[in-house]
Amino acid sequence: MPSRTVFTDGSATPITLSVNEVCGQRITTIIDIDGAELPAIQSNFNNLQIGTNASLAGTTVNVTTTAIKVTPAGNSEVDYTLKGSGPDAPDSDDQNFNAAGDPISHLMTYIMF
Amino acid sequence: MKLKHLLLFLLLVAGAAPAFAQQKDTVVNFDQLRAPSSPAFNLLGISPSDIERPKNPTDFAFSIGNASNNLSTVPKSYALEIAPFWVFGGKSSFEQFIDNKNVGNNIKQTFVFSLGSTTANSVKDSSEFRQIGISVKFSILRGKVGKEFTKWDSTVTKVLTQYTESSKKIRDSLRNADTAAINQLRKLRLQSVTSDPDKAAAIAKAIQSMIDAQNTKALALIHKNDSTKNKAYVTQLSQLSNQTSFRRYGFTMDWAAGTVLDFPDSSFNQSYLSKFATWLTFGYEGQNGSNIMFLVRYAANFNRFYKNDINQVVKDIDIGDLDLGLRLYKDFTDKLTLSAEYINRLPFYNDNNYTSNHVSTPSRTDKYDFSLNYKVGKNQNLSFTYGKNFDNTVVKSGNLIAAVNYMIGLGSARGLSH
Repeated sequence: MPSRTVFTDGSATPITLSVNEVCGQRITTIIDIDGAELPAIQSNFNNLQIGTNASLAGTTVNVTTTAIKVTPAGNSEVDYTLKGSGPDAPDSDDQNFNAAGDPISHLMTYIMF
Repeated sequence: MKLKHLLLFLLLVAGAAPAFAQQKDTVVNFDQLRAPSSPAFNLLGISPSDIERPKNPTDFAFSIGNASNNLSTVPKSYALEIAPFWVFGGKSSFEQFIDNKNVGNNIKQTFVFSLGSTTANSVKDSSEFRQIGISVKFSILRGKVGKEFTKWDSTVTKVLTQYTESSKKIRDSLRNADTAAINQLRKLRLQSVTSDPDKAAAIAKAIQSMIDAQNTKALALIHKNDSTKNKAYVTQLSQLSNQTSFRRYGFTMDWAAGTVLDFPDSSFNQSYLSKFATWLTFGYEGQNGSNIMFLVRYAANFNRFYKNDINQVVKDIDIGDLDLGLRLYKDFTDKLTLSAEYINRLPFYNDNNYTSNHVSTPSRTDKYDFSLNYKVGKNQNLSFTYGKNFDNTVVKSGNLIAAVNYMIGLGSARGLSH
């Protein structure tokens, strides 16, 4: 359940987000910026522009992902990668499914300054 | 009319059966043209009810260690099945899991390793010894997912979105409680960014800690699933998660191989290879219900001790069979399914070894089955199977003939007339 502080530079440089489940599980992701929700995304996605350095300064970007078990792997691991402001190394969230195979929620927060 | 002709044909075939072979009222082991799902258990001749399926490397090591007393004794009764790619942390996206184009992906994702153990009795002196079966199986071509997957995915999309929306609401409710405090901290940080960078960094850290605490609480609440709606979503999603063996269409090719090792003193110190088999199955499955499948299978038995034709125990008799098969299958409607299967068996053996040990030499033989299934109502099927086994016994089973006789009986009933 990662979070990251992101220091924007006030420029018009786009900030993009990628969300990838790497254990083959099926996911759905909802992004909201200070509560304002973007349409749900039904699978892995790469480089979705969520704003610019200037527009995202002072906001909180919340990413809520739910995974259901599809493959024989007993876990779900989601890589969140934010590009366009500072280092773009992925933040991973890895959780195990319970015996009943209930869905897993992954919560990621970017605190934009 | 067509069905009537078909039923008449079946009646004739069934009636003619005793004329050319001995009749045996057993059920044909149909669908022999597919490699068994766990070749190791198949070779050992066991159908374990409890198969261990470790979910991670620790589970795997624990399971093996526990069953074999830390690799000191051969387990008496044990069954394990594992997909190494997934259990040992292989990385793949959902899209790659569904895709069929990349052969490398197909092989690593479908690779299944099975391990089983059982006990057997020696032909020589009836003493009990332990056997271990090991097998691998994978798909080279696995076909494309079809309409069943589209339907599954559409339902998952709907329910997963509803559940994620509900999870987001839980996050929102917790965030709202902290919003004023976090906004105040953000203001303080802005004021000290240039004048006191250390203070600004500490405030940023404090905000992050508050958000981490929010998320921890939110995750616990989400996974608690205590609202009626969430409980219903979880039930639906868990059911959908159990329906992911998607039927695939198009060209398919599977390979499997397995072997059995005998351990005469039930320890790992001494072992003999007693069986080996390999399967290659390939074919085409159409979305219209037509299916054709070919089989090439080689099975060998390496008998350390073997009871020959004059009831003597002789040593080192090896028997090999190469099976070449074809299966045709067709769903005519939702109700009628026809299937036919033919396997030709070619034996491989050492003629001199057999003759000198008084073991009769096997000859080329074949096996065929014809099967019909007609759905007459909910949970009611008329079925008929007719075939010949490798040992030339005719096999006939099903409830179709009795049902047809019953229907004819009803049709011939006459009312009383004055």
